[in-house]
Amino acid sequence: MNFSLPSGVTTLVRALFAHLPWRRKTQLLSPEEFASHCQEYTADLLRLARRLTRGNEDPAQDLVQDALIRAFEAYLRCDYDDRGNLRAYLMRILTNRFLSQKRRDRWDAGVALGDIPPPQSESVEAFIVSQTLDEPLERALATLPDGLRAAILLVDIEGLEYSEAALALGIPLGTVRSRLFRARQILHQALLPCALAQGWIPVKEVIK
Amino acid sequence: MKALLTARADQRLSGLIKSYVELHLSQCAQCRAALESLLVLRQRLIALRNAPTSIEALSADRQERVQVAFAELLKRHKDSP
Repeated sequence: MNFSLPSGVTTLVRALFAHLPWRRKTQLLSPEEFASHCQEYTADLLRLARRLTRGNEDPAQDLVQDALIRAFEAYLRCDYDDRGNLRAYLMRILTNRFLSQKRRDRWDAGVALGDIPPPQSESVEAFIVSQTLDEPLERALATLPDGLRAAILLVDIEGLEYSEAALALGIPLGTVRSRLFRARQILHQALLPCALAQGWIPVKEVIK
Repeated sequence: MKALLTARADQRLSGLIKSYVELHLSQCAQCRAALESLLVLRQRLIALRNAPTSIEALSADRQERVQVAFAELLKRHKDSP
């Protein structure tokens, strides 16, 4: 039996469904405005991507390109709510992509999460040297495992809320806090000898 | 307490938990020292946010790819019923 609704009814049902409260998103921006706003954050996204990829320029640029396109797709699907923070939303997409790529690479390589040492390529060295503001800290950041580095980059350097970082990392809020603590603990230990030698920071005791 | 110290350094505590942490800090020298170190490290990390970068922005070919993708997606969206 072939049953179909008249086209007018189908259109009406579709329109009603699109305006149900749980479907409704605030989209005040036109697609052109949204695209333009997205591109305003390119520099911020690149900064995050470069540190996530430990200064590997090509993968960093790929991540930004991918994040921008996916964000626009999501906007057109009405999956983005304008009331949210667009910068945080873009960083969430970018970080999600980076971490899922890493997971896939590790799965393909058949190794456990902690088994891969951070790569120390020429591009990493060039990136660290180019970030002249705090070279020891950049160097220490590059040695952090991916999950911890992503947490500290999102919250401390990019200024995201814990809840936004939790969404980006796909972990509960409490885990964000503990990851931040672990990351800062590792950074602290890594920076301690240099800091004491230079007299840069008043470190009295080791974080335990 | 580790996670709470992190949240305290970031000023993300409120209410009863904040009072509990403040009370603990007033009585525990080790946690005070840890908090002080966390605050200094946090300042250095925040400073990186505004660090000037000598590397270029998104490359011209990638910018073009983004523009083309945006235009295609928008066209497909407008064409869809």
